[in-house]
Amino acid sequence: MKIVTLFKKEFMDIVTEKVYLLAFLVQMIMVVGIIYTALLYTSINNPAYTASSGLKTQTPRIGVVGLDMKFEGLRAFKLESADTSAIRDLNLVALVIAPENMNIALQNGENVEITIILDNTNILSGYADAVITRHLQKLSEKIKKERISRIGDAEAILNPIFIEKTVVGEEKKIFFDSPKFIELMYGFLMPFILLLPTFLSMNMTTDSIVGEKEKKTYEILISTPLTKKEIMLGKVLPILLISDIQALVWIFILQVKSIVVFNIPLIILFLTLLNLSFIGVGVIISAFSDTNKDADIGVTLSIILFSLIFFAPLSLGKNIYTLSPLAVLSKLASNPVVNIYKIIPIYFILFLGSIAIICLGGRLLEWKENLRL
Amino acid sequence: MFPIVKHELEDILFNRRYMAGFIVQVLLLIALLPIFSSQLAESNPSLLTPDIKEFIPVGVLQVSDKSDILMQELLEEKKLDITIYKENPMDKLLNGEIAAIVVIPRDYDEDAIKEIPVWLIVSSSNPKRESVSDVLINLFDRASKKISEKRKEKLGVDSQEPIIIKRELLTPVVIEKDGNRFSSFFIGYLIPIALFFPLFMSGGLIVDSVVGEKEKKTIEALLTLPIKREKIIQGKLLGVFSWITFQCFFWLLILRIFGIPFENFWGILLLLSLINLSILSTAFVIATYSSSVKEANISLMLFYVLAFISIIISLSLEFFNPRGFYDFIPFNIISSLSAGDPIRIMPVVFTIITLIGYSIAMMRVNSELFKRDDVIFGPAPSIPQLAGSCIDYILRRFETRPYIGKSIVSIISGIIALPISLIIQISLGISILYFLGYSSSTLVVMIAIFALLEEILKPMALFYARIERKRDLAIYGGIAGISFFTAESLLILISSSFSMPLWMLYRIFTLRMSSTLLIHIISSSMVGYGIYKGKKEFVIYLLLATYIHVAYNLVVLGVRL
Repeated sequence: MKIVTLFKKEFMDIVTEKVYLLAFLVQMIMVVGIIYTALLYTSINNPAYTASSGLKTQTPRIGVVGLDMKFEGLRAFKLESADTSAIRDLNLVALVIAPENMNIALQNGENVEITIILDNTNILSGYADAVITRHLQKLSEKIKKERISRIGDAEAILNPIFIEKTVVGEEKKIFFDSPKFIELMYGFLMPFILLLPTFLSMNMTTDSIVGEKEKKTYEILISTPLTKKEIMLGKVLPILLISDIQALVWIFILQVKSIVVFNIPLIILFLTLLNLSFIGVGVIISAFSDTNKDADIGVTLSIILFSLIFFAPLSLGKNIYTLSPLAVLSKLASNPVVNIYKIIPIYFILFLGSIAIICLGGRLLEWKENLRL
Repeated sequence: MFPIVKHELEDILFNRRYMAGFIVQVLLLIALLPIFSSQLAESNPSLLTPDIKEFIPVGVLQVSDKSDILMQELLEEKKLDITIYKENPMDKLLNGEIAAIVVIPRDYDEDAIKEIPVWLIVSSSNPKRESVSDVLINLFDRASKKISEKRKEKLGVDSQEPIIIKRELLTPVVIEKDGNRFSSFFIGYLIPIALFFPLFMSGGLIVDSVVGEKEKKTIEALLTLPIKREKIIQGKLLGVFSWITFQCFFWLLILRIFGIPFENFWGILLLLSLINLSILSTAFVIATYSSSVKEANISLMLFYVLAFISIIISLSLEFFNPRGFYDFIPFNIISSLSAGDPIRIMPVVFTIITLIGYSIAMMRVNSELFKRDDVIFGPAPSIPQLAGSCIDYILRRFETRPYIGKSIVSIISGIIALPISLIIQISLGISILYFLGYSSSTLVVMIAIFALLEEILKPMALFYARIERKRDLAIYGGIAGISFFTAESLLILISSSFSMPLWMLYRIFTLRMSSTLLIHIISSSMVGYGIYKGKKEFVIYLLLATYIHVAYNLVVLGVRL
């Protein structure tokens, strides 16, 4: 019962604290901002997907010299000369320049060189480059086939694999059905969003413990009939609960936009364990800090360190990456069903680690407090 | 004033916390530079996306064993999490455990010269349906090319492409210096962001220097010194500013030592210092006004988040969509200076004058705040109270000709209403679009809320202007409306002038002059008149003015209800 009172007090302290409410608001702006940025980034990179989502798009314009072909998804303008100033004057994304008498040279069995000049400051240049290259490769392929068909089965030599694609199951609505958006969202941004409360939980812990030390109310707290364990639980549980509620709110915001998050109970369990270890680190920092200023340095340094540990594996090897919490969250959130046997060891290690860190934190706090008193 | 500057600098240099923060910054910079510069050395202008490993679970049913090349490709693809099954894993595909099945059928033979089939089964209920198709079709294409090369070699066929594609870039993306390659994206985008880090780390310094002294009550001793009050706060600002300028110089030096080929060392430092001064002077106003460390921390955090977001947005927009408009934005000038892009003198001079003017204005505001006892010792006056004092000050200056003072107050009210309403409108607009989605009814809701907001804000200073006659309130409300309209029109015309031809600008101008101006005058006059009438009537007049504003906007935008 006593612990419930402490739990209530701590919980109310956090939810009525202006700093946390502001941090919550900033995080919410970040979450919505992140979703829009990802959408904007993927859509301006590929007008075809933007058009499929019902938004109005402008077809990128290109200039073509000495070539008579259509480029699907681009508006081609025939130009007389290969003058690059046309790119700026006619608002073009790229200029495709083919040599004179290209067709005759190709018919004679010669190879030709086509130059693509890209306005790389235009965001659509990557898209235009891909479309032009695809069309030119198709043309090249056609000519190659004609040449090879004199020797044997051109298709079997040039494109031996043919794909037979079948689609099964019931179609579900997806917010923005672009591979790039899905990868960016599930692989990077969603785990980042879900980890925001985790990073904040460390700060809440130091605020709660060191704040009491600074206000000299910590001595009163430890002189109450509550045991050290109860005090620790009373401080840790509200922070865990608030972090989980925040994660659930972010998940809800994502779901509003049909960005489905799978395995929510498993994600919340994973985040709870991870938060527990972060809170443990917060307790360790609190043990060594007498003022909030000292604690802030510890928290800032730890957040930098953990960010590097979490995000650096993105550019490292496959095996190191699978250990990153980012990878686990990405797998849980993006797959409707996960192989439970593959993730049990991760949960087990995290559970043991969190308990060890929190116990160590508790011991250190007690030890430092005994020294102080 | 200089003893104060010296004292502030000593405080900073002998503070372990600041020094630890400084060392961490330098270490981070040194650690991050090689990572970014190597990653971006060969870049194209699009942003980086992380290389996500084992992102897509795929089941492979390998019936044919003559599939070495394809299997190698499948197992080497980092994005795929491959599980090889002995039986068809259709149940796993349907329940979502895997996103696709690749079947390598019995007649798949990489050694025989014939077309070989691969079956791809995708679940349309899986969110990764497009990603998996994208990755696998590219993968099959790569395997197909490898098999093709093998076959061409076997048959002695010429493998050269008839059409060779050569690419050239209009703007150099890669800068070469001493054998090292650097992306202009890196030079023009990341370096400017990194250079603002000392500024964004300065929050603690400002809080300690201003609010910290208030809380520790040491400010009282400072105020007893034989020195003018405003000199104390100016000295503090100068102390923090010198330290940040030194840090910027140091960072630029580190970049040079690392051989990063950015241009205009001194030009960047000068402009950076001016930007820092304008942001710092605003941050000092916030800190001086805050009554506790906690309050100052929250407000400065929010202010710095907004400043940082505006840096990112302005740099990103320019990088992907360069237009002359960005020549006027200080962050973008830093980017152009560091990338060595040509610079137009006029916008730079304009920006420098604006930054200096703004900093002086903010320092003046800060000095005025610091002179007030209620700001230093509390209880802190509310923002409306401060606004009231400002209005009083203006009215007192024109005591003999009160109509001039009142007109100035109305004009300022209209001008200030524009940025405030813009900030609120943007944040509200994003939230409404996010939760309600885009539709004509959402648009109507947005137009109504925005109009109501503008109508409240335009004549807000009139509440404090002590205008007794109802006719005068209507007139000064109308003046506030004209001033809002003028500021809004200037903003629209300047921002459109970079993307629209002159005739279109002229049409916008005439439309606005012939009708929008009238609407603003009528609606603001009504709200001003409502102020005289009292609370209840004010709401009625406000709603009426909003109704006229909304009806006009709906007609102009052609929204059908």
